[in-house]
Amino acid sequence: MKEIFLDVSELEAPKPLIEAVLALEQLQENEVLFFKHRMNPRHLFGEIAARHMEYEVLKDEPGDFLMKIWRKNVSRS
Amino acid sequence: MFQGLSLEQAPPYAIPLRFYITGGVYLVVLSVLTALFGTQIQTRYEYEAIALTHVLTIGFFSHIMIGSMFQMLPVMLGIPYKNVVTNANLIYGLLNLGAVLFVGGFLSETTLSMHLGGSMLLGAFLYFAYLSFNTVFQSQEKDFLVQNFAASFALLFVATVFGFIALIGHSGFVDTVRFGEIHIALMLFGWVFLLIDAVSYRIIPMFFVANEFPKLLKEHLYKLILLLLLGFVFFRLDENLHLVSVLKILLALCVMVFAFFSIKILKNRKRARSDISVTLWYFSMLNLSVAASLFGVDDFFKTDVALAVGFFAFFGGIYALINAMLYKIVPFLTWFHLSSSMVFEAEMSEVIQRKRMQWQVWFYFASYATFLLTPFGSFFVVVASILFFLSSSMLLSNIVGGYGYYKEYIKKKVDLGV
Repeated sequence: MKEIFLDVSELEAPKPLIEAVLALEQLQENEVLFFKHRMNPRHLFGEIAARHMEYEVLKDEPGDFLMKIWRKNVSRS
Repeated sequence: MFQGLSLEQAPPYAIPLRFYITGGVYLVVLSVLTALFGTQIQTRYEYEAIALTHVLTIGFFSHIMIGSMFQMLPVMLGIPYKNVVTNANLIYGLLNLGAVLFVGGFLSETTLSMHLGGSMLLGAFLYFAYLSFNTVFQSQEKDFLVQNFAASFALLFVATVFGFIALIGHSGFVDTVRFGEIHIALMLFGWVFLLIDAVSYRIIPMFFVANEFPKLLKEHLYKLILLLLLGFVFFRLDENLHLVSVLKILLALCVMVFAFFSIKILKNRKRARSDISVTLWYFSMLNLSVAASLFGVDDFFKTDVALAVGFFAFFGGIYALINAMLYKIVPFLTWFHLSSSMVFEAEMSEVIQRKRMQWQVWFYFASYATFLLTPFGSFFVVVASILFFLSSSMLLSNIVGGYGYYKEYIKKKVDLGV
């Protein structure tokens, strides 16, 4: 699986969401997106669900959020 | 290509904007009424003082806060209000009819108008508080944000009841001052402060690339305030004024702690650049700290400092903060709704021109500074009101301009047949 990293933790709203949605739209079946932000991106979960993708939150601490996202029916590694 | 956002939860753009624009109109009206009646006010108990205060609190603060909740609860918590259009229209109607009758009643000393307006405001606030409280509890995640919002709505409910009792008291049924003080404390520290802190916990990290507030503050400050307010209500009703004085100091300290962390977090933001909203935020936090200090120790003063507390809290503190939030929220909502309508050319920074925001805020600062001179002559009240008229007209024009920006892009989309 190809790993793609997107760090939006130094961007102000609404850029983190735009960057994340753009990355979701470009995500291929053999890719996993690692998304890093300074806060829990509540809106992104709706965008992920709308695109029938899956995710796993790896870290959710004050000032540090990390999750990985991939297309359904693809085994994550 | 960016394909837009899925905003099933968000209400129509027109709902919050209608509340914001109406709030701006009340602000212009306030500046005119202050020029006409402000020179006669000596104490907070005068009918003119009560009328002008409520033009600001109901006319401006509540319109902006309620309008924002209709939009922000769904956006921030992912839970929509039920029948949002009907409910928003009902609350908007009651709020406006109530505000006009209530304020008109105090200015003309017409009891019927005061009571009729008060009853409508009672209906508007109780229904909004009930509706919002129920809505936040639909959220699957009962995190600090939900808890802060819920506490704020619960206190709005209780504060409204005490306010109505105080109003009835003007006809001699109860001790208006005692119930009025409880109403003010619950409204300020409950509804307004808890809502402001909840929104700040979200907005500051989101829009200013800043760190989050400490967990202790986000999760426990509202509990402490609830407890202190409960004590305040009990001991104020019991006329135990010594304990009330202690509780006032503790409530003041809560506000000062919040102000301290807001300033600290904003000072340490990652991309520190000139931003009029940040300037307003600092200004607001300093004013809230001054107001809280005076409120905490005012029982030890021989002279009545209530008008000064009101000035620093309402005009210097809450007003400035709401002004700052509007300059982040209106551009964001405009972009948000355009994006969800598949319009991607819009830029958040273009919704309200930076220069226009700066001019409006400079006029506000000039008005604030002139109001500080009013102890030296009532002439300054008129000058300060004129400056505030200019500031509030510009704020109104900036909000309307944001709405115009939205309509322009939607029209372009329709014209192109997109």
